[in-house]
Amino acid sequence: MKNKLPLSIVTPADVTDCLSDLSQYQKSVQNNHLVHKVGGATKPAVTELSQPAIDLLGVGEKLPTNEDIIQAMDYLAALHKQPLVLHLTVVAELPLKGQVAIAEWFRDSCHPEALLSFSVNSQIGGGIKVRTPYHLHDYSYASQLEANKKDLIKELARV
Amino acid sequence: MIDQNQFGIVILAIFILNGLLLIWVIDQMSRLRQGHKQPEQPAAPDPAIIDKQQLAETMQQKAEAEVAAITAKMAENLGSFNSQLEAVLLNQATTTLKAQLTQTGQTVVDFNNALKVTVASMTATLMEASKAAQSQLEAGVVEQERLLIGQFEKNLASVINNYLITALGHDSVTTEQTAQVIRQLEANKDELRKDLLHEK
Repeated sequence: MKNKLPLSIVTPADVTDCLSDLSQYQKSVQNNHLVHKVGGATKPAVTELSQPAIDLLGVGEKLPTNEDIIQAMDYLAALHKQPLVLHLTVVAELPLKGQVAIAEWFRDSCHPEALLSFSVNSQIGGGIKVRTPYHLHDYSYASQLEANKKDLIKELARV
Repeated sequence: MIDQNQFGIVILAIFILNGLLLIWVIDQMSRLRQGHKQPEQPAAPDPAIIDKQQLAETMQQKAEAEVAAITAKMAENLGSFNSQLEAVLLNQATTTLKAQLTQTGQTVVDFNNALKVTVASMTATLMEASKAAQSQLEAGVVEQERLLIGQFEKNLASVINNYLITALGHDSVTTEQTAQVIRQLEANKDELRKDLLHEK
C-alpha cells in the first residue's frame, strides 16, 4: 500500500504531530497485544487516531495492521527528514479551509508532497508570496504596484 | 595767468607808488610855500628887491600853475590808472571767475561721469548678483522638485498600497483571499511547477 499525503496534513507541524500520534498508536497496539496475550480483552479503538493519521492510513471498516502503521510512519519520517516546505505570505490569516484549498492546489498542480507554512504581512496589500527552497515568487499587490510604477506615474501625469 | 598772490602784490605795489607820488607832490608844494614865505623886510623897499619880489611872485605863480597842472595831470592819470586798474581787476576777476566756473563745471562733469560709471558698475554688479541668485534659486527649486518627485515616485506604490489597505480594509481582502490567491497561483502555475519539479 502506497501512502498519499492527505489534505489534513498541511504544515510540517502536522507531519510531526501525525508521526507522534502514529507512534503512540503503535505502542498502544503493542501493549494491547501483550494484554491480550496475558488474558486481557481490551482492543485499541480506531477513534484514538487523529484525523490526519486516519486519512493517511486510509482506515475504513478495517483496522490498520501493524505493517500499515510502520509503513505510514516510515513515509512520514522520510517526509519529515527531507520535507518540501513552501513558505507562503498572505495579507491576512487564512481559515483552515483556505489553507487546505491552497495545499490541494499545490499538490495537484506542482508537487504531491508539498507542505505549506503560512505567515501574515498586511504590507503586501494582497496576493501571495511563495518562497520555495530555491526561489522567492512574489505575487503580492505591493510588488505588482512597484513593478508597474512607471505606468502608474504615466497615468498620474496624464491626470 | 596771474594767481591770487601775484595779483595782491601788484595791487600793493600800485598803492605804494601812489603813496610815494602823493608824498612827493606834498613835499614839492611845501617847498614852494616855504620859498613863498620870506621874512618881513623893512618898510623902505628897494626897487631891486621889488623886482625880486615880483619875480618871486611870478615864479611862485608859475610854479603853482605848474604844480597845479602836474597835479591835475597826475590826478587825471591817476583817474585813468584807476579806471584801467578797475578794468584790469574786473577783467582779471572775470577771467578768474570764468576759469573757476569752468573748472567747477568740469569738476561737476567729471563727478557726474564718475557717478555714472559708479552707478553703472553697481547696477551691473547688482544685476549679476541678481542673476546669480535667481539661477541659484531656480536650481534649488528644480533640485527640490526633483527630490520631491523622486521621493513621490519611490514611495508611490507603498502609499497606494497602504491607501488600499486602509480604504478597503482587511475584511474585503480576506473574504476573497483564498480565491484570489488560487487565481494568482494558477496564473503562475508553470513557473512554480518548473521551480519545484526541476530543482527537487
